Amino acid sequence: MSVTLETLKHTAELARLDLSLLPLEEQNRLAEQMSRILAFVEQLSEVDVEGEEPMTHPIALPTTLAEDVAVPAPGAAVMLANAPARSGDEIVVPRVLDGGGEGG
Amino acid sequence: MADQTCLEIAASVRSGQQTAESVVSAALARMEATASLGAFVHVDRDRALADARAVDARVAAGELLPLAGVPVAVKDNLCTEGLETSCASKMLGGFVATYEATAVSRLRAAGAVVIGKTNMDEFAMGSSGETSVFGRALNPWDTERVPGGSSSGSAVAVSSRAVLASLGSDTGGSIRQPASFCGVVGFKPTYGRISRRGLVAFASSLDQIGPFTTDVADAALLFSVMAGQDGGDMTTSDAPVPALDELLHAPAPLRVGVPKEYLAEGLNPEVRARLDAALDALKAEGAEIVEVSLPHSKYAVATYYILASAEASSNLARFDGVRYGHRDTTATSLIDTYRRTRTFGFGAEVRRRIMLGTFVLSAGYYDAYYQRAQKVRSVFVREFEAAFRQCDVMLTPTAPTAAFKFGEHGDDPLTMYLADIYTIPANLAGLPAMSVPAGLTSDGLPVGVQLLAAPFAEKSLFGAALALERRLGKMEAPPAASGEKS
Repeated sequence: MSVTLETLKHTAELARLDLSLLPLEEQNRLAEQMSRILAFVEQLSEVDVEGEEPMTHPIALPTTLAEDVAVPAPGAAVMLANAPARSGDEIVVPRVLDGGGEGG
Repeated sequence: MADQTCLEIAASVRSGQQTAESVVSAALARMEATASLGAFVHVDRDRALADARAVDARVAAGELLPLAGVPVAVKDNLCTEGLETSCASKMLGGFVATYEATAVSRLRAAGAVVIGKTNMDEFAMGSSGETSVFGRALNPWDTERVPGGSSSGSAVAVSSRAVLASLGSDTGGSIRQPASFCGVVGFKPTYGRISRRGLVAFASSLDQIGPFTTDVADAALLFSVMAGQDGGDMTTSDAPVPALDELLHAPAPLRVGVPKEYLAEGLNPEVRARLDAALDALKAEGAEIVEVSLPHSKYAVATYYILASAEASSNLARFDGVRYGHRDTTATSLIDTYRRTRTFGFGAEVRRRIMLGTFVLSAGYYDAYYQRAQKVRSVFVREFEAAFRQCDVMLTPTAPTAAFKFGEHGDDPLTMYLADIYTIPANLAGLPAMSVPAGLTSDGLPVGVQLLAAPFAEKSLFGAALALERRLGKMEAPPAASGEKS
């Protein structure tokens, strides 16, 4: 299938990417490369998969149960050390409500 | 010291012939001498030397450590305490994990000393090492050629003898292909053998951690230390792990299968010649060569790129610029922060795979692409099960060619993806697989051959690998091992 810039834009929105930030040349190249990759993977339509189960893991692994015991976790200071912006023990992010959510 | 093995280093440190500190300081010096190869991306010398002295104290206290004083290098997608884990991506620049990968902790508990983190394709997506934000690592055998990928730096670190053991991760061949290109042993264990806790996930149904070493025995040593069930990774198996001695004394295989589809088309004659030499070696060790068939082999790459990209798009959704890693601060809303952070934080190859994965999982395409690929995967697994009823191990090429030149695959992702055609099936089917050096091309480039075994049949795999190494001899260090060539 051929990936149009429209499909590209929709897929990017699902992936929380904004390709319009990239040069148009790069957007076109990505659409062209995705089209070629999808054309390549379409060979799978030749395979007879009638009655086959979709496989999620290669090896059957039994569900294991963990002991219900508390284990020490790194403290807040350690967890917060990697935060890009913080105020005390809180992570600072741009406005979420009031136009900050789907507004962008 | 660079011509010793890990087994020899550990034995000599245990017996007091040399200290862990002297071994680690020599490794740091070799790392410096080979710095132009670009294998390492994060190093903390003082911490490494302090860790080495701590190992010396444990040895002095009578602890019998299987990896006493062995310096190891760790791929930059494995979380390490106190040392940056960036996946060679702008997205995780400066990130220091709050906990350590179980595989790394087990190495340290056994006396190994982590001397640094190694270069890689960004988020382990690539077959040449070229997608790293740190720039490329160079193949020590010919610095105009790629080391392979995605575990580029881990292969180079061992090939150049900066260290004699390193860790990589293998989702579609990311340990075995660079091992082949760099003339070292690269081993991907059975899915579920080694805990992935603390491995930054790429494709969770395919990823597995494994070692690079200069010989087969050292691969067995690292495997025996790292393998085994871990409460931190629900997918680890409780199957008993063979003891090191069992692996080192595993018998040569009786029946070696060769999938006829793998020899059919486009195999480089130089690679074919090394494969034939390996077959002769196993015959000389008493094996019978059996032709087996894996009729759906030609669909492996397509299946893999759907499944791996789909899983990657889901796993990489966590990088949103909120809690850790890169954040684009020019956005004024949260949703735009996500978009700008992700668009500029990921490189082109990672963006492409996230896009492909998101597409094949999206409404209207899920059944035709993603679910169909999952069903084809069932077909592969059944074909391998049937083939392993006819043989104990399989022998195949590791890669279609020896190391290629930088930029050789240009801007066409598909030709690069096809470099993984022989390694991908083991990930789809969860099999243990190892690339073992099998000699040089007429241009003096190393070529590996790949051994495959049934799930959890590592003992058969090591029996075959040891037999190959006995007959073909251990691969020597590359002529440019001191790094001055570049």
